[in-house]
Amino acid sequence: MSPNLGKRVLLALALLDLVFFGGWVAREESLRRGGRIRLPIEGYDPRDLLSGHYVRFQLVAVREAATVLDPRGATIPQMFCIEPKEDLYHVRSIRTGSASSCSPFLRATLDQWAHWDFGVDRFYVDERLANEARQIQANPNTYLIATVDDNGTVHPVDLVVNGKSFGPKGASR
Amino acid sequence: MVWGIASVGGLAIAVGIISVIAANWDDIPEKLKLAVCGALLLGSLGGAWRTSSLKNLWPRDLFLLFHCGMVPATIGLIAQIYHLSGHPWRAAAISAAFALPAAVVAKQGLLADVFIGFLTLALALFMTEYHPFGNLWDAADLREVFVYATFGLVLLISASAIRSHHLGASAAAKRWGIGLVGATAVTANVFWATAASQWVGGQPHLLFHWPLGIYLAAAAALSAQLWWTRPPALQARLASIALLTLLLCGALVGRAGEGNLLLRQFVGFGLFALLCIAVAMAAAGSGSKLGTNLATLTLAARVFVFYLELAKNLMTTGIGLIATGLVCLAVAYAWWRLKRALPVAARSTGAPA
Repeated sequence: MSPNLGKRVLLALALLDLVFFGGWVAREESLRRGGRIRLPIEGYDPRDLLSGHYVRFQLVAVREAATVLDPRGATIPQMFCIEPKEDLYHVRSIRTGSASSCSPFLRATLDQWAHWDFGVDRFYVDERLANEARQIQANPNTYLIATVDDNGTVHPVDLVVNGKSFGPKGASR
Repeated sequence: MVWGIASVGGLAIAVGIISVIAANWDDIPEKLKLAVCGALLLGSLGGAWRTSSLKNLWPRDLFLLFHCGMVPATIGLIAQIYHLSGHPWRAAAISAAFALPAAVVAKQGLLADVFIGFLTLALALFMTEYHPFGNLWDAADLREVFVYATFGLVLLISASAIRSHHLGASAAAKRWGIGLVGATAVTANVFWATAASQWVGGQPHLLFHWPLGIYLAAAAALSAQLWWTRPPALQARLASIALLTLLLCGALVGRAGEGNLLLRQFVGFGLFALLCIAVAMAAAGSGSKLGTNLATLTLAARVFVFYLELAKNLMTTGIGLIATGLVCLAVAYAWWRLKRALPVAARSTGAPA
């Protein structure tokens, strides 16, 4: 390969880096600027893998959605309408009409164990907080603060365990 | 001596800086982390740009290698900051896509190794995540073995196709192709030696047989390419493909009862041994001493394992191996008596096939 062609490839790669990663960060930032909802969680446990310290959890919505619609044999993706109950959002029913028929709603697919999967199951936290989370049991003050986009995809903003925020400072506001 | 001490010192400082950053990782603002990561990502390409005019292209390729490492690091950082979950195969696939231009530009085959490595990892993670048939090393049935074998054969076809354009990348594709095909041959042999596949060809829909279909298509394409290009040791290469196909497809045949398990073990061992011999002959004919030695070493290991399979204990295994060793020595002695010379080992140098 000639040096000039090699330099053009390097330039194209640099542009690709800028567009792809820059666009990705900009998109994630904009998705977290919408209205926030609180989704109750359960069954979390702290992990320490190569990707860093994170709390593994399951949305209560997974269990609630399974009672509304049996995941076995269901078509995917499914949209579930949610509604607030004592400040926390719970699954109410399946969305049957257009997006305006119920708002907000959550989009779910199936995971490899045929459970409803809302695409969020982890929250990266400070190492010291991850260890602290090990000792805490699920309760009504434990929930995920997130935004939901027009497609029903959940974007985590903060994790509150026992009333204590685990996210970066100011994330809950 | 001085360079050695300087290297240790440099390494210690680098590891120390990483440790200090890691210790304060959670206190570093997220925007700063992203900015530094972006600077390293683009800086590595800047370094590659600056060094691409040098006569020695190793520095440029090292900058590109660093960029290939920074891509998954950046993906991981974004995933960590925005708490993104799941689908690790996508990260590996994106890393492969970003590594491809670097592999094309680089003079060394190492960048091609990185690209193929990411691609293989993406395939493995995809297979594991969606669990279509299980995992290669936890083989629930043979379909995933056919998928990996097909990928290996496609790499071997690519190795030959790009050889005139990029010798280093061709060698990398060949390494990975042979490695993947070898791994699938070993897995298939395990099926021969134990119970039969859970996928016994009794699936109701033809679509369930697609892994076998793509494998046969890839094997036919590689055979046609070999026939067309006429490389050294053509017959041995074609025999290797035929024996691999027999080994993989034969493992599909029915669930073995206790009665015919012994027969299956013998046939499986025979096919694997013949495959090793064919590969050793192909490697010797192509002038690859390493390939010849690896194939014969694999055959020797398989013989030892075969004794363990049949004999079930170390005593009978030992006696069997001593008997086999004596037979081999007798054959070598007879050869020497007839020819008055020991056979010459494979040539140690030569262009890769």
